[in-house]
Amino acid sequence: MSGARDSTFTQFVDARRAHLRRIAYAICGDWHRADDLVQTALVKLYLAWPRVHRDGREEAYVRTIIVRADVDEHRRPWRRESAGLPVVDRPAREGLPVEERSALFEALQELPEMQRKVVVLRHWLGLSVAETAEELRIGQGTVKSHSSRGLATLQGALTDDRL
Amino acid sequence: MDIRDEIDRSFGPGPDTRTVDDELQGLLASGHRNLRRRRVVAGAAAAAAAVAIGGTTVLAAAGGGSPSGAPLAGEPSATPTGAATPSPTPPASKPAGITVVRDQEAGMMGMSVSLRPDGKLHVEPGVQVVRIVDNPYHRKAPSISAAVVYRQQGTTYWFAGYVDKNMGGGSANQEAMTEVSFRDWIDEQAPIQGKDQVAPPGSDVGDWPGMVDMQLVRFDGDTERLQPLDAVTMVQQRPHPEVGDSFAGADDRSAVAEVTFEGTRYYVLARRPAGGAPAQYIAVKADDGGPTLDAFLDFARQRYAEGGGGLL
Repeated sequence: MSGARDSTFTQFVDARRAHLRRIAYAICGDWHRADDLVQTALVKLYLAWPRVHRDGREEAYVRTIIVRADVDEHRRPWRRESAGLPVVDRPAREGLPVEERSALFEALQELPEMQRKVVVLRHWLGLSVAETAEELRIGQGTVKSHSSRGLATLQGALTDDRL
Repeated sequence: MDIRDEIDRSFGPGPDTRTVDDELQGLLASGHRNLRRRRVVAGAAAAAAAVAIGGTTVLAAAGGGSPSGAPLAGEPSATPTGAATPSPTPPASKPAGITVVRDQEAGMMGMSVSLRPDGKLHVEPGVQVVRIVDNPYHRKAPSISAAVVYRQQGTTYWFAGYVDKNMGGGSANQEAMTEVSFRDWIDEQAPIQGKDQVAPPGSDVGDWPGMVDMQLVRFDGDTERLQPLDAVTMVQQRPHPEVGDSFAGADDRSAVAEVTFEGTRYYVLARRPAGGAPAQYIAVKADDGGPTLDAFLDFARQRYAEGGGGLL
């Protein structure tokens, strides 16, 4: 029953997990959080596997879940406002050691959330304006403005880094 | 400057303490578990009480949408509460092959939309049927399948189910999603709609006595408070009861309530997993769950610690 599903799914995860993890890290800047995002996205992918695999949209499907899940996380206030609930025992934000994180990546993480996502999707992963807008559920004009502001910031960081 | 290459070089692969094999095994186990959650196995009519269900379920209110049984705004048709009579003016979107009946008694217990063993689609009064897809899983008569979009108390739900000629059947229900179309969701449920892939009754509930499809309460917005649905009386409730990590982690919203409905006392465990997944509810009759809410919680914690529980 699940043999074929498991087999093709495993092949996909084997081949693309490292890349998906890097996407998640670029989005959130934290490897633990990135692992959580990828895990969540891959479980959802498994459930939808017959449809998504048939359409050849595996990677796009996972990427969308990663990006939107992170959007949802940021938009959900109750996590931080539910006084009296157990505190989430999550490891401290873990990035690369300082010497391994370039000024560019630091600058990327300093961008406002949506600017960062636009830059990652548009200028690292190479999505079009329309695809980026669709993925983030924002207008194409908003994509363009985030893109130009984000790029300007990153270019400034690169220039400073090389001076 | 090629910003793509620059970004790509700006960080490495990151720390990796897990082997790929471990990761995959964990993923597959989680995937299998979640697939089982989607299964809803309804036994034969004689065993209707033994409903074994999977977890993405958020079904409509027991008792219908309004206290009087009157339709909500936009309700296309409804018959008075009483005998299971066909709707005299079925919804415009109702395909010819589906017979819709509306009453409080004739459906699966506590379910607002269900396929009865006789192949008729039961819709409780107060539930607004938006759309019906006739036989999406191509079952051969006398077996039948149906998928339904319906609204209740301002929320849109999806239902997909089938009834087999041997009187068995299965269905899945959940809040409508934005990231997946109804048609795609129907397709996603296809693996659970084949007889060879339906889990035997009871296999997924860990001997849990409750009913996942009996929703008596719902979360109050993004809080961990529960609101009783129509005709349900809230006796007491507690946020985040900490039944166990396999039920709800620190990031998930959860709550437990003691309610009464139609003269019967129930305990309801509720959770809304982090990440935007639909809320899930399981109701247990107090006769089966213990004399007090504390006793029920002890029972639930023990079951989840043993790897059982109604929402795995």
